[in-house]
Amino acid sequence: MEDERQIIERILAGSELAFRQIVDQHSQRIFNYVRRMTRNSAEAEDISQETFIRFWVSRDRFDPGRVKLTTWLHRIAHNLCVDYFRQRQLQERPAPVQPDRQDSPDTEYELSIRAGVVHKALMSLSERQRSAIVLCHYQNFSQRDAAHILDLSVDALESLLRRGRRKLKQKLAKELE
Amino acid sequence: MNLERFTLIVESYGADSHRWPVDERAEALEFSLTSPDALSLLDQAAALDHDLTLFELPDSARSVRRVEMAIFSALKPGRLERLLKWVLPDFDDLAHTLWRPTLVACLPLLLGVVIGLTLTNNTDELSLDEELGLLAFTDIVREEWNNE
Repeated sequence: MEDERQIIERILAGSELAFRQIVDQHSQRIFNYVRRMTRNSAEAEDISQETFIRFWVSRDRFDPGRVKLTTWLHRIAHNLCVDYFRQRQLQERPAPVQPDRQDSPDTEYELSIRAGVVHKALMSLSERQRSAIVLCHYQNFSQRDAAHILDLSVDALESLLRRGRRKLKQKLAKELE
Repeated sequence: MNLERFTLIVESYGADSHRWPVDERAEALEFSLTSPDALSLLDQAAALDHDLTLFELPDSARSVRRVEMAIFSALKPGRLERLLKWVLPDFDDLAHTLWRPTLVACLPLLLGVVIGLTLTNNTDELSLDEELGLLAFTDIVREEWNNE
């Protein structure tokens, strides 16, 4: 089985086949990140697609000795999300979660209501605070990699996370009272 | 490790020690076992961590498949692009690819030859009336020459 380093070397040499392998391996993770950052799947699909195309077109700018591929792809995706929010001037109003009450047991229904509240609280954070939480909590990046994606120092990331979590805690306490 | 730093770590990264900075993890874990305040902080952070895990994404296999298909189709060049790529010589391998633009440049010449041959063949297949007309024309011309 070919390791990622070899695949990257082939991509840098212009192999479309190697690029397809990378798309297969990373598309789900990138989609999840963008989906958590944006409001819906259609927007997430467009941004995820653009992420990989930009990576392919400017592949000569990627230095595998300096940064991991997944970090690089997340950085492209993050920048595209930032551009998207700037262009559209989006007001973060997530669609309310509407579970099927009749088919769900009460506990599941309560959980999905709570999940909707969490979603809403996350979307109410600033785009930078949300990115920091999504990268560290959901995408499981290390502090260093998350800081690289957001183009911040580790201290700045830590501060962003702390403020984000504090705000989230307050929002959830208020909403779930 | 002190309570101040431990608080900053837990407030930033939550209660799961796997998310804590690697170089401080062992010390922070040890500190959490000795301080009641640290345990209380961990409980609060764990509650928020639990709430965050509730935000699960819906099944996105179809969306991801659509993304992949869109990327792969964007990679495929159009017909014109493929034709141009084939016609234009590869400067790194000029010896093996120079025949392609040469062939394309010769196409009008070949077309002319084919049209010319087709027209020549047509003159061989004159109808009887046309042949008689040509013969009659020859006689008239010959008579005019003789008269002069």
